[in-house]
Order: sequence, then C-alpha cells, then structure tokens
Amino acid sequence: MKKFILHSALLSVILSFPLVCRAEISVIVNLANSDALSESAIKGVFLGKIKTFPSGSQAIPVAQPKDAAASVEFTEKVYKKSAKQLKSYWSKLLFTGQGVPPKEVASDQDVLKLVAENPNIIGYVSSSVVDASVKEVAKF
Amino acid sequence: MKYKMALAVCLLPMTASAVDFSFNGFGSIVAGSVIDGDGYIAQYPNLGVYEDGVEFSPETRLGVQGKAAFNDKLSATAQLTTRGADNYDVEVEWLYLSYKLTPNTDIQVGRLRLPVYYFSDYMDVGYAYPWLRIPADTYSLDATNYNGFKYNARFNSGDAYYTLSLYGGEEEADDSELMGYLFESFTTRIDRQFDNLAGVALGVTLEELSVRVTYTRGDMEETQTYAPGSAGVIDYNIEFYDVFARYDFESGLSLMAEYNIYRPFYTSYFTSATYQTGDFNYYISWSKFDLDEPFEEHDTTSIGVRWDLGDTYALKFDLSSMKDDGFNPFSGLPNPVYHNAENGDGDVKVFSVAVDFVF
Repeated sequence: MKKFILHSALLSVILSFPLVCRAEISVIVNLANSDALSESAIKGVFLGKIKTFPSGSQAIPVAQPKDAAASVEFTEKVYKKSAKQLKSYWSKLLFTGQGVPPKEVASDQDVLKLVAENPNIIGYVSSSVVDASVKEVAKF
Repeated sequence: MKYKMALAVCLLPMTASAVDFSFNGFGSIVAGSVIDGDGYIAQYPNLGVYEDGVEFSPETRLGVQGKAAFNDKLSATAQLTTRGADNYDVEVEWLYLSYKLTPNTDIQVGRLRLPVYYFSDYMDVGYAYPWLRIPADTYSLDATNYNGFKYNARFNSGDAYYTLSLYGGEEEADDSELMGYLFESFTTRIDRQFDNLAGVALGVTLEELSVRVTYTRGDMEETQTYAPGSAGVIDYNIEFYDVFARYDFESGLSLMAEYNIYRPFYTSYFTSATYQTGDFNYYISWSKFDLDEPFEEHDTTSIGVRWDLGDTYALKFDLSSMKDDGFNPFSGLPNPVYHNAENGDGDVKVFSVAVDFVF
C-alpha cells in the first residue's frame, strides 16, 4: 500500500511536471482594439515605458497576483526578470512619481471580464481560458 | 466565483469624486566602519561621514511617501525623509502636484528632485540599486532638490522607448553643510542661491541598452561669510552636463558608466560591473571626483554584494577603498577631502553592511 501511494505520488509529479512547463499564456485585448502588438510593445506597456497602444489610445495593463500561474509565466517569458528584480524596478518608478505597477486582479476570469468590457485594458491569462469575448494578440 | 468588482470599478476611467490615497515607504539601515585610515565621506549632499568605530548614523535613512489622487489626472505627492546624517530631522524632499496632460505626458509643480544624474531621482532608495551606496565621488552635487516645475513625456519609436523631461526652478541652500565643511579653512558659512535653473533630460532604452543625457544651467550666487559682518559674494553661471550608459547582458552581467561636468567647478565619473545570479548581485565599481583646481581629487574602488533575502528587503555588504590625491598647489602639501586625516594623505578603507527595504 505504501509503495502504491509512493508510486502514485511520483506518477502525479511526473504527469503534472510537463503540464506545468507547457502552460501557455495569452495576452488579450478588447475586441474593439485593432492594434498589432509586438512582444516589445507588450513589455513596454506592462513596464510603464509607454502608456498608449500604437494607435494612440490609452493602454491600461492589468496583472494578476505574483504567485498566480499566469503571472509566473509572464514574469519569466515576457519580463524575463525575477519577481524580486521587478519589485526593484517598480520601486524606482514609484518613489520618483514616474509610475506604479499594473493593478492586480484575482484570477484569469477577472482579467477576461475586464478586457471584454474595456477597450483600454490589456491583460494576460492562461491560454486555456481565452474565449470569443476577447482578442488574443500574443501567446507565450 | 468571487469577482472583485470593487477593483474592477477602480480600473475603469475614473469619474468618481472620491480621493484615492496611497502610502509607500523605503529605508536603509547602514552600519559602517573605517578599517584603515581616518575618515570617509560616504554621502556628500548630507555629509555622511564615517570616522569613529562602527557607526549607524552617516547613511541610515527612512522615507515615506503619500499620494492623493483626486481624479485620474490630478494628484498630490509628498515624500518625507529622515536621515541619521541630519540628526534624524524630518525633511520634505518632494512635495508636488502632478497633472496628467495625456496618457504619456504630465507636468509636476512643487518641490522636486533635480534630475541631473541617472540615479538622482531614487538615490535614497537603496532597494532600487545594486550597490550599498550610489558611487559617492560622483553623486556629490550639493543641490539635490529644487522648487519649480518638471514636464515629463514618454514616447517610442519601434523598440526604442524615450523619456524626456524639461525642468526649471530655483533652490536656496542656506548655510550649506557640505560647502561649509569643504571650505571651513577660510569661511564660517556658505550660502548658495540657485536661480533660473533650467534643464533637459533625455533617456532612451533599446532592448538591453539604456542611455541618458542631461543638461542643466543656472545662475548661482554664493555668499562666503569669513567672520561676523565680513562676507563676499561671487556670482557664477553654472552648467551641468551628464551622460549615462548601461548594457544588460543575458548572462546576468551589467556594465554601466556615467560621466559629468559641472562648470566651472569639477568633473566626476564612475563605472561599474554587476553580476546577477539567483538572489545575489555582485558588484565592482570605481568612481572619481576631480576638481578643476588641484585641491580636491579622490577616487573610490568598491566591491560588494546584494543579497535579496525577501521580496521587499535586501542585505548588502561593501568594501570600499578611497584614494585621496588632493593637494594644496601653494604649499604642495596633501589636502584630503576628509579634514581630520591624521596620517596626512586621506586614503581610507571602509567596510559597510546595509539592509534596504521598501513597504
């Protein structure tokens, strides 16, 4: 019995590990947003380097809590920085009046809902939740 | 299913009249000790000096920032700082109104940081940079803040992201502690009045490359008091040029350098390499101050490490060695920037430990 538990634990680790690695994230905008966004443009908006979309309309990035699966992926694949380096980056801007980090909402569903409602919002979610209510502009 | 609708409402373009308050802070607890030599000026603008055993006061500081956003365009921000070097007196370092003209442009009016150096705006926020301290020989300008305005704009061209600031104002430095110290051999007090300050700062980041240049000019009236009732006034046209460049390699290595000229007084510069691996960031830096006259010239070599212990705090160790080459051209004798140097040459080594945090 003990052996079986161990095996199933091992099995679940083996099974879940590749799944974690393969978890893809999508950057989404409102259906009314016709901007094409490069990886650099997405990074620029999320890091507060520019506060508009290429078309000139205001861009409001929305993040998720740093431990959320989508955030972990986004930090690694798009920011390409550690969570601590990001914290250091934002502390520079915060104390010099140059910007604040993107507001956080609790889940993929919350991001989806906000993006569907507001043409200025851009967010990232696990690719598996993307539906027809929003437009996917990039996948990482 | 728990939708955080309150947050969702905040994210929509705000039309509500409620004032949105936010509060943040930063601090550094720094302990240092001279291990060879007599005294080390670790921080020039506020005259933080290590000279006597293990000391906490020269660089320890705490800052709090409060911001009130009245709507999505107008906000008021105040930043108060208390420093060991100033007997923990609370000082208003920033106090300004900010008005967003467009999503990418804003204007700030009030008491602001003079943004002449790359790290000027956050030189007090130790958590935001790798070293234990900003290279002291280079970041030595006696006027750090000013009263006036600053216009900020962001724009991009492809992958190049620009920041442009235009600023102007004035600053009064009555009984300047730094200047009073530097010229204590022949004055009892120095007052400096900076008028008609005007400047421009242009920064660009392109992928892993960052470059920033600034130019600032102004009129400075310096009043030197030699004895009660005896004073002299000197008028200067001042100009400050600064250029900074940094490149971040994928390996975790970063190289950076900054060079500035303060006319008609001095030139200063630094270069540094940092290497980030995991929670550790190792650094080596070299900085130099070179007065146009031979009286003051010194350079510091530092090695150290930043260890990110937690999400909001870091531990740092630093070993710095300063070489003082200043001399009196009339007598030919050494003229160290630290005045109580008993062994004469002013060379000094100092070891420091710091905890930097934000909240």
